[in-house]
Amino acid sequence: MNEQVDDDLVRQSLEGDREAFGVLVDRYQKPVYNIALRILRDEADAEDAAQSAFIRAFQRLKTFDASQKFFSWLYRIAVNESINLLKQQNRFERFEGGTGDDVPDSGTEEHEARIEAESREQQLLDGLMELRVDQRVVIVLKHFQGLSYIEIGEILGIPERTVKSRLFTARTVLKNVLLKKGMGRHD
Amino acid sequence: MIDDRILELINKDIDGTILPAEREMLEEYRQRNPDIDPLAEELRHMVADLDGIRPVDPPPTLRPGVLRALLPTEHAQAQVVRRTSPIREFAARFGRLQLVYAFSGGAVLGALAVVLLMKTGTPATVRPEDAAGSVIAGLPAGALLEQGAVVPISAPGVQGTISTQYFQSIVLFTVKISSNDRLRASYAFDPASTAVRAFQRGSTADNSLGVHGGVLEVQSPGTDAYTVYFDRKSGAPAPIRFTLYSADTQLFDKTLQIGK
Repeated sequence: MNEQVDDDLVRQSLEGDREAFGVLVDRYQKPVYNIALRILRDEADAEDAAQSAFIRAFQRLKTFDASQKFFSWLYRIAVNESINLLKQQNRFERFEGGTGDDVPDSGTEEHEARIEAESREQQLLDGLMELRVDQRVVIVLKHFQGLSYIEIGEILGIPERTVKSRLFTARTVLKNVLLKKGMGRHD
Repeated sequence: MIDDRILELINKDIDGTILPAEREMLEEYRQRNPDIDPLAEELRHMVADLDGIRPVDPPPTLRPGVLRALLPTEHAQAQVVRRTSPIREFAARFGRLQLVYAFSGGAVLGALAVVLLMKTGTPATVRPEDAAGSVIAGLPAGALLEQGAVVPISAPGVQGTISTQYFQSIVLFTVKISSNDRLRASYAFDPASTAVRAFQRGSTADNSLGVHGGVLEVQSPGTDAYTVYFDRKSGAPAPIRFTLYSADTQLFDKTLQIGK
């Protein structure tokens, strides 16, 4: 149903109906913005990347293959725009066994205060930024967009098997980052 | 010790994609290895927390920004061509590599100029080939610029503007000055919040623009202009100080906050 609506809106946009493209922006601005935000973390950068993604999608609409899902195509552009922005800013962080040097030891007052002050969500998002960007992207698409392995594979242009392997590795790395920051959850 | 195969089974179990045969295999591993259960619990909690993070509403400016860029496409594209054409012409005339060599070759002397600036508190005049530079990377084709603030420069015998335009994290800082006197105009900024991406020099031979600041010499009488392409390092507004001198007299001093 949604895909049919998207296809109609794409067709109308190609016929010169820019309002139809405006409806596509309405439908997808939230996921596109959130993909960019979780990859980039910075709100202004995320808005820039999301805006660029829509503009680029509009400019390339003629190349859209209608046998694909529109949102997969659009999310791929959003991921690429976000990564391009990271490259431009030279903010391609790599996780090299964590950055534990600046993390106070568990049990200190400073550590306890910090844990209390930060919400679990912020801790997770902080940890996410320490992942390699390709690992971060699969986490974002799987857990923040709720996409299937197959859909993530379509967006990233990689086999489903690679998606799984990358996702499972990313989860393990993220868990280790959180543990290193004293944010493990041994109940 | 937990190997990749076990990790894969744990993750499949968490995602609900594990097959019956794989589940049996995982059970066998669990009975033999006491480290598996705590790890699986840890991962399960983390995945639940990740799934629980709610999406953020996009800023209200996103949709209008996209539509504003798209609706007047032909007009906007024409404007962009005109706005960005000086740096394209400049790059085409001298060649990208030559530009990079010219800028990078002057890095050391440019740094000396910065030291001079810091010591004297007033801009030092250096030759254009001495300017320190970063890699020239102009705007992408078809970039749609968002117009920022335009600040008039008003001083005795001087007219001009400082204007800002935005594209993603790039800020174009353009200074235009007309004067009957010989003037020096300088910019200075905080490298912690801002970096220089590229320059488009003015027409006067003595102009010097660098990654740490710049000087524009306006000959008598004359009009001159330059554009610096800054990269914002964060979304926070960043200060750029612009100062205008006639001989040693300061005529104009303004700090602009660049950023949306």
